[in-house]
Amino acid sequence: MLVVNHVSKSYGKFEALKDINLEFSNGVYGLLAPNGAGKTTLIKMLTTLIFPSSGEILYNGTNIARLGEKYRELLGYLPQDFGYYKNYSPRQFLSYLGALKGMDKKVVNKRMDELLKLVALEDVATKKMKKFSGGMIQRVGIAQAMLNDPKILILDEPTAGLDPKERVRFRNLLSELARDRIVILSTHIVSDVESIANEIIMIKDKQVLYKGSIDEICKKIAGMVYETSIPYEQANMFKKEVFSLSEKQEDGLLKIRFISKKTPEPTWTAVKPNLEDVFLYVYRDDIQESGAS
Amino acid sequence: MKKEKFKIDFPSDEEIARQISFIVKEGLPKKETFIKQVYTIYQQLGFRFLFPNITELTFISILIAIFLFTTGLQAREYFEAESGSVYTFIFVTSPVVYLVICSFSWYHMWDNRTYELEMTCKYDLFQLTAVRMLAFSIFCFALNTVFIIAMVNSYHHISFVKAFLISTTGLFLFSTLTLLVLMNNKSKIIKISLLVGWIAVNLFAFIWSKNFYLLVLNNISISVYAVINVSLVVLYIKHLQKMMQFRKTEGVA
Ligand SMILES: Nc1ncnc2c1ncn2[C@@H]1O[C@H](COP(=O)(O)OP(=O)(O)OP(=O)(O)O)[C@@H](O)[C@H]1O
Ligand SMILES: [Mg+2]
Repeated sequence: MLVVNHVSKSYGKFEALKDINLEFSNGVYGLLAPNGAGKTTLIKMLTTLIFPSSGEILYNGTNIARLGEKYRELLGYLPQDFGYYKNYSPRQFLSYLGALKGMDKKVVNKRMDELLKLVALEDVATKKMKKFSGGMIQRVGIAQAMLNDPKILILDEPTAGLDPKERVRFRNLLSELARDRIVILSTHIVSDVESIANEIIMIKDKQVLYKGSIDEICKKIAGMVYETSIPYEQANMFKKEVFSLSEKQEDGLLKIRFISKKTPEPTWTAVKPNLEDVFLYVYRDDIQESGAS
Repeated sequence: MKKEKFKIDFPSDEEIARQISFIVKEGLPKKETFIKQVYTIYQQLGFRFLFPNITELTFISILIAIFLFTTGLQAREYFEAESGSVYTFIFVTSPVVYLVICSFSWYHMWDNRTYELEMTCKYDLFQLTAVRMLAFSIFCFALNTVFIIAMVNSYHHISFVKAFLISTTGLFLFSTLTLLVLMNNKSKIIKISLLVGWIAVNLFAFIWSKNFYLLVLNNISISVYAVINVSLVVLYIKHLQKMMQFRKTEGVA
């Protein structure tokens, strides 16, 4: 079990995360927050790339910094900014990382074949990576993170650049894997975690805002989400009254999904909130700010 | 400049051997584990992954070696006119190959975007760097020795033992300093200034206070050199060892 205990992290005078408390056991955890919220910062601390300014991170009761290579041995990591050697083929790159991960050559070779097949790269396994597309590189990254059959798999925006087909394949792969390990993935794409994460962690204002299952988190705005159709002329007025989540055109009317705390009008249909609604609502200020700037 | 005659009390071979083994024993309590660690990493990674730019490194070393050999062997007039200067030349140039191949190797290693990945593997960059630096220093030590043999053959007034000790001192003094700076200072500027500074300070001292410099370099006795030498090697190995454990106590970013 991985425990984050009162962890804060500052870069110089700037505080990126404040008093984070989390617990991870086997399963998929989705770290869901907008750009700049501190997802990568938290992940870098979990991978010992940086250390907390205060607080501690424990694995089975021992500080991960102290565990050193014993901890890193259990780790599979896909950085957000995934670098690779251009002149290596996926095979060479994976055998290099396998060696660094302390794996036996035979095991690496066997595992490599399986993984390259899983991420659908077996046809280009011996081609130099400089000719690869972004999505192909990302899949090499996913394969390398899983190479050592890690007990703790940490993926920083793993689905960036993947096409829908690969996304689905990746999700299935993860839920399969998560049965006997900790999987932590960060994203700001709601649909990525919606179907696979057992637990969602949302960070706001440098702190953990929510941590729980999707249902639990959606309950936070239960009874406040509606849909209705209105003529276009009323749209502007209406949007000043409520918080609009999504809008689309339907039969010459505007179909709008929104959040309102007022007593519902008869034309409003109450709907079940989803994770995206929560995300949009929780980060409404952040999103408006970044939209305005 | 007065030619300094070679009549310092030279310790017997047995005494040197005894002193060396004493210092080694005192200074290296975990000698076996270090060698074992190095060996494990070598076995695990193999030559190709441990030295990925071996072609470039070989090419660079050959170029510098050719330069040093030709300069060393061509500057006969100067070395014969200024008797001590040949030792100064040996001292100053002894870490040059090491300096260049280390910088080259670091540049490729730490400036790469794969840094984060390599840092989260079981064997991280600190461990690899330690093994690489050890290999580089052994390589440079061998290269320097060949250089000295060539010099001794060409200039008969040079003492092999003395030249050898001076060269080794230069090499390990520099490499230990490099390790200290690398491990204790995070600013890139300081690291680079050490590399440039080594040559600059030596040249400066050599040109502007030649007498003093030659005096210091030439008047230290062989046994003192031997002791300094062995201590430096021990210190160097100890720091390499520390580097392997680096991240248990220190942060990286
Ligand atoms: N090395 C650093 N020095 C100073 N500030 C930093 C550093 N790294 C990150 N930050 C700041 O910390 C905050 C959190 O950054 P972080 O990269 O963790 O966000 P993120 O949630 O991963 O964002 P994204 O979705 O864009 O990847 C940001 O405001 C960022 O500017
Ligand atoms: Mg990030």
